[in-house]
Amino acid sequence: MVYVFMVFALIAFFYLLPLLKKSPKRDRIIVAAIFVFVLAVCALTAQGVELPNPLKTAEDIVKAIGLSYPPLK
Amino acid sequence: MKTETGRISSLQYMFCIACFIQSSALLSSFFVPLTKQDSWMSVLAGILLASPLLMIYLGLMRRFPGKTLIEINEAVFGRVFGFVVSLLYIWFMMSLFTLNLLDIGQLVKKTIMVDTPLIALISLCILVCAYAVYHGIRVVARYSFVFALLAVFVVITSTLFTLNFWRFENFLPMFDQSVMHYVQSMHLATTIPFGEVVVFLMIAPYVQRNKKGLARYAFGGLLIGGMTVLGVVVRDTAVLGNVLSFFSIPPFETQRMAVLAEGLNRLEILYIIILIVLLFFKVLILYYVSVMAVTQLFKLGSHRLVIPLAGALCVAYATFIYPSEIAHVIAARGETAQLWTVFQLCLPLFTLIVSAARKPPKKQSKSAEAA
Repeated sequence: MVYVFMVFALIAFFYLLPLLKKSPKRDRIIVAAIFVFVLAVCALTAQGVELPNPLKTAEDIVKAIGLSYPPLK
Repeated sequence: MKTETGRISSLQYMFCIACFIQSSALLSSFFVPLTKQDSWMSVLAGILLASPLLMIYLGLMRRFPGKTLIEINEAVFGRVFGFVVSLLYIWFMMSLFTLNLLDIGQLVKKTIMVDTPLIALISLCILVCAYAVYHGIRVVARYSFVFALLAVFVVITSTLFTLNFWRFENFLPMFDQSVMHYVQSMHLATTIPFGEVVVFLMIAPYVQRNKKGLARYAFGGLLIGGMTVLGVVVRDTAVLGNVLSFFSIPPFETQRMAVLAEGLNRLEILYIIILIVLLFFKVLILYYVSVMAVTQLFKLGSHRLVIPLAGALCVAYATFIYPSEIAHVIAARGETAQLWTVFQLCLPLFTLIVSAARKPPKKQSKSAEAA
């Protein structure tokens, strides 16, 4: 998995570099911030770190409210 | 702000919606164990219940012509609250994108490339999708017509090939399940394939509208897609009967039984190919709308800046979103339908009510001028 993310990071970096050169400063800052966030998520996932799953959290909230359907017997 | 300059025709829009829904034939395993031989009723109810949802979306399109969902949120709720609502929608779109990406990967792994790692399959899928998204909506929508017709053709031919195995008593007994199971099944059938059409609010401004308007095309897409899913469920019930609920992909088992002539069998590969194509199309649409939503929310100059970032994030997300396929199915049956209802019914309806309560932007500006 590490190799897959490394390939992704390289593709993204070399793809984004020329595009960012033409972009305004504001865009560069936002894209750089998103890039760092995505890279961190990918790196942690590849290392096997268990990240908080937003979908699971939302489903737990639905369950806690009592809106979920009972499990199928 | 428009980052996309391409336009698609109303017909392409219709076939995009049709393909998007047709790809959900795979997800019949979510509600089939609940209503078994009566599952066709859930699909029919899903089509009927999706009609008012579509009318809400069309109402928003009519009130805000030329605006995407993200721009509508900003116009209705203001900059801060609109930003928060849009952020929630982006999470919804990205989650859908990831779940469908996972579905296509698992389908290919389960049926064709058994020994290939899942991560490799979904990464390759993302690379092809990224190429299409890079070139814009025209490339994304170009083949929708061919895909939709191919799907209809495969369903019709497979129905004919399995006619020998049809047993009408497989539909009996009717109304044999508990009322709660019917409600749950209808809810699932409405939200998971049909309600997801809400993402087409991101594409609506890029449709060349003719005099007939967009409503008939949107409903046309819903009908083509819905009837295809209904056809698949009816055929599977007629062939497999009550054992339908034992399989993770019932259409695959039905096709396995199809025999055209001696030596000409194993036609399930045809179905799997078309299902992969349709799922690929759905992932492509979801990838495109996610990228456009992020671009418009952060007011970036080009959607191309977000393509590799959204793709990489969703590949990573797909690896930990659910620990197994069974966990995915259990969560879909238990909580996902309620969660998706917020984005497919509650928020769009609330947006429409708030926008109706407020004065339309043109009148506001006129009154301001007069003042």
